[in-house]
Amino acid sequence: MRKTWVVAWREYRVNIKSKAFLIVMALMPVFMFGGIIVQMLTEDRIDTDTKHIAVLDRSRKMFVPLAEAAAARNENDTVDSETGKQNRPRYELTEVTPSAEDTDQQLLDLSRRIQKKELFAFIDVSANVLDGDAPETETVVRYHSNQPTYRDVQRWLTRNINGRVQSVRLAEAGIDAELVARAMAPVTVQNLGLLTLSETGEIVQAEEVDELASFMVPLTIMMLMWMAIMVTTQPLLNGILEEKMQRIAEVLLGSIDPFKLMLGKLVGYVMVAITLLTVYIAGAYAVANYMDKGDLIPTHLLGWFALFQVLAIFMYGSLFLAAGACCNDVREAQNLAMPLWIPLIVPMLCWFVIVEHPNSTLSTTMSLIPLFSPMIMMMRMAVPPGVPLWQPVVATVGTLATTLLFVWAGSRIFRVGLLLQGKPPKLGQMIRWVVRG
Amino acid sequence: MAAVEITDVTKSFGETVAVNGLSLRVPDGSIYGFIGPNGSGKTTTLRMIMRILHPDRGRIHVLGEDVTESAAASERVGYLPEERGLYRKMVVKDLLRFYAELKGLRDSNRAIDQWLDRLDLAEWGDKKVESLSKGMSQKLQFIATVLHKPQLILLDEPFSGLDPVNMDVLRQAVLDLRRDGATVIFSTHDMGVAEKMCDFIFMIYKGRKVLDGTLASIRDQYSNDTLRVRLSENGEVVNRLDGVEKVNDYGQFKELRMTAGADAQQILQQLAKQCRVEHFEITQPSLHDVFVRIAGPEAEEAQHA
Repeated sequence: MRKTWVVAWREYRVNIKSKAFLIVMALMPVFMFGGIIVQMLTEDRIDTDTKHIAVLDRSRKMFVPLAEAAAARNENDTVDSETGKQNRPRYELTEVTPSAEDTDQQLLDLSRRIQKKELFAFIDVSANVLDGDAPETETVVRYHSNQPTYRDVQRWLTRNINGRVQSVRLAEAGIDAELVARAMAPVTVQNLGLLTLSETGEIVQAEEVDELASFMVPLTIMMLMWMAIMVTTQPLLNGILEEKMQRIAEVLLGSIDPFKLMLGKLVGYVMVAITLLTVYIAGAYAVANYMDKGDLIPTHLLGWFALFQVLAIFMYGSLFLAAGACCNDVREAQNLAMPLWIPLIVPMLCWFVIVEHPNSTLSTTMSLIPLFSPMIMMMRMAVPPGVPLWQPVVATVGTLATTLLFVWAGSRIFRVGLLLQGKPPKLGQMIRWVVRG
Repeated sequence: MAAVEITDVTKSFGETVAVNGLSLRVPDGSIYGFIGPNGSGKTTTLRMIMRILHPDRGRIHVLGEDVTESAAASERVGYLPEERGLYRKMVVKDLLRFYAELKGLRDSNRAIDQWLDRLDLAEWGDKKVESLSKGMSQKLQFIATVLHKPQLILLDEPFSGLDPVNMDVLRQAVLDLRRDGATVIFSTHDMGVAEKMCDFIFMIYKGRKVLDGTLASIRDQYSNDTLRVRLSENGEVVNRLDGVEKVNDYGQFKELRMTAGADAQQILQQLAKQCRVEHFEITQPSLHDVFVRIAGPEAEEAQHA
């Protein structure tokens, strides 16, 4: 066992000094604090340029109330009430009289003014906009701009045009607008967790559910696991290729048997992953506490996370090692390893479905398939209320059995493959090596 | 006692039989030379002794242990493979410590310094392996092989590609290790080295043992059928002599192989009539000549005929 440790220690030392590892480490603060930093940097730099909007009012009834609403907004809603600094753009509306002769020419001219940046947008209000009985084609308001993703202006216009239209129609029908507003006032439905009993026997009120967080936490957990697997499998593949191409393998095999050598490499990379994750998880704690969201981190899952992470590295790592041992250059190895990426990509593709329906038959089945277990089971466990205990236990047993099988089969391919030169073997040939040894 | 005892070992790779029914006994404390053409089974035999490959059939005992069953002997054996295996990005001393630890040697610092000093690599100890020249890498690999004071040392082509100075240094190191009690097996294509260094020579050809014994006993198998001559002119005379079946021209010397029953005196007379004979010696064939007789194109033809 000592020799396994000697190999593991060398792999660990070489890898934590490698460029790839240092880059991933250096990216940690970017991932973790990036959001906060971007927010802080951009806080003072929001767009406050005045938006000039032309109103082509064919109804002759819409411009005045819109201009009044814009003036009220400019007065009340564009300035930070505490600092007195402008924090939103002002809207300046100008009326354009509809041309009697050539409508299309007028619209084209307005479009050109937008291109020249004289205007931000223009709206074309239909003549019958206030008529509730007219078909949609006669009441429609057309909003034209060359910035389709900037939606604030369009939303503001929609809200105010509809407000005006409704109050006019209500007045015409002789209904009190205030009464309608009171009748239509919406009711909020809060999304809350469960009430609990504290240690002192008091009932603790439920907290409001942070919907974003309840999706982000499982996703982050899976991404962490995925990253640790990526950071370890690629160097495992490259490392074994170096040993084969530089004929180091022969020296090693003269001192240690292939199973122990393979085990040592896997242990080394598990240590690399643990180092990496310790730093990342500590970073996540720091950020969550900074944002006062420390209780979002599911600390009770840390043990399971560590277990599944270690199993995942052993399971995938042994496959990549076996593939690497059969190849003579990086290109060959990447081709041979291509199918091995599938179990790593599948959880990425279906994470949303799984988090949304963590206890569906599909989610449960996938999380019990050993190749997907580590990432998918972990993700399901991170979605409240979690899963019954038997499920992670079954997943662990299944993954452990698969891992043992892969390490054993991998080491048999590894021993034959390492000394083999020339064309990489076919899958059938590799299976024969496993069976015959 | 035998350091290595191979009994009726066969090893195939698919259809190819690499080693066929081989038996060999390497006495303790000897220097044993493995010769044979490329692809004849030398490296496969060495790898089986090292337990890197398992024989299909037969037994191999190394330092008294059956290597098909136990790895117990592996820490007492050192192996220098034909193609050098060094981590290019590692620091020389770290690499040596790693290889020593794999052989169970925990505190290797003193031994590393001594060996680096002895092979003139002391100033390279803290450099990366990739900055070493080919010859220096080879010496480094040699140190990695012997650092843990192995009782049995296997060297696959240890001297190939070395300049004469480095070759002398390594040869002296090998002889010193033997003097200290180690058994040395090395394979080589340099027949001169094999003749000068080895107590015993073993030749393998197409997976089978064709020669095994001391140099003298091997040469004795071939009678005094070789003439070594130096002539005043480099004429074509020698090609037309009666009683000579093959001529090897080494430039300064020519070696003539006599047909069976030919008389050396008659050949000398034929030569003397045509040119000045400066040197004339009746001798046994060199190891080189023996090798070529077994594995050369002539032997190939004879086999296929």
